[in-house]
Amino acid sequence: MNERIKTHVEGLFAGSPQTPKILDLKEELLANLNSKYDDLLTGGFTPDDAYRTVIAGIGDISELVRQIQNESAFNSHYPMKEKKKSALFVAIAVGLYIISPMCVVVFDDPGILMMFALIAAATGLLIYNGMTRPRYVKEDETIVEEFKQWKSESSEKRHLRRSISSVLWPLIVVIYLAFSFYFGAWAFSWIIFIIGVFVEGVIKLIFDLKE
Amino acid sequence: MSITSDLLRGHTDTIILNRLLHKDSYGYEINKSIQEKTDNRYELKEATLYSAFRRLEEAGMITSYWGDETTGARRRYYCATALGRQVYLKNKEDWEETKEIIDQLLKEEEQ
Repeated sequence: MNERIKTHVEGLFAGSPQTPKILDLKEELLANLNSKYDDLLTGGFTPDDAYRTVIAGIGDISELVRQIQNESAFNSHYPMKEKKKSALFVAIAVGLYIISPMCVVVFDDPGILMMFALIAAATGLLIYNGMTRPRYVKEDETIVEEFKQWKSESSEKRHLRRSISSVLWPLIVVIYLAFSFYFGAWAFSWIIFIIGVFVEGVIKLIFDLKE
Repeated sequence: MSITSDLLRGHTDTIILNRLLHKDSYGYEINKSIQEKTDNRYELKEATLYSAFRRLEEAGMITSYWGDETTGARRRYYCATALGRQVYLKNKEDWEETKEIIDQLLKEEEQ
């Protein structure tokens, strides 16, 4: 590994964000430049001449780097920031579900209202999260891209169904716990789960019929 | 040379696909074989080469993978897909035709 080449390449990438794709390009470029450098030395070049020839052969990579940067900003399906936001929403919602039955235990009767308020908030968060996640962004005007976007749009319904489904089961667990705690009805409250399966089946049926 | 480069530039993708027809290869090896094949008359800039790789990969004409070199740095290898081979053959056909037409047009008639 030639240090001068490395320094030069580092300079070319200075100011670019360290996304995986940029780092890959840098690694690929360095490996190839070093092979070339070694070949030139074997071919009788002085280290200085070899270095200059290698550097001169790179050309202008700024356009390429810019393209990759733009791509990671728009594409990559869900940018990192969005992913983090999405994970946070889900974590908060799950947390709310978990602590919601505690209200009943701690505050008794008024606790039920609080519990349902928390459940409503958590459910709202999950649905909001499911609906606002960015979908496929068209990269250029090719037919392939249009097809991908079309596919992504037609799966919007499926998207909604998944959101509902992901909300349904935590909700059923919460209802089960609340119901059982409140009425002390552990003996037969398990039937709620069977109702849950039924409800999910009905939702699936409704969506399938619509499509 | 600069004029030649302009004419050649439109065929960069086809030239690279040609190099990948028979074996997977990496950037420097491809460029070196281009240089050798043309007796040092033509060589791609690194920037041109990687832009072409990216374009071809996005179009599904090549795929890439990292090699597992035991010594030295990792290398990214490229491999032509079935689509890549198809496009190559089509481009080659187009070129043959273009070449013929230009040859015909530029031929000076004997007076």
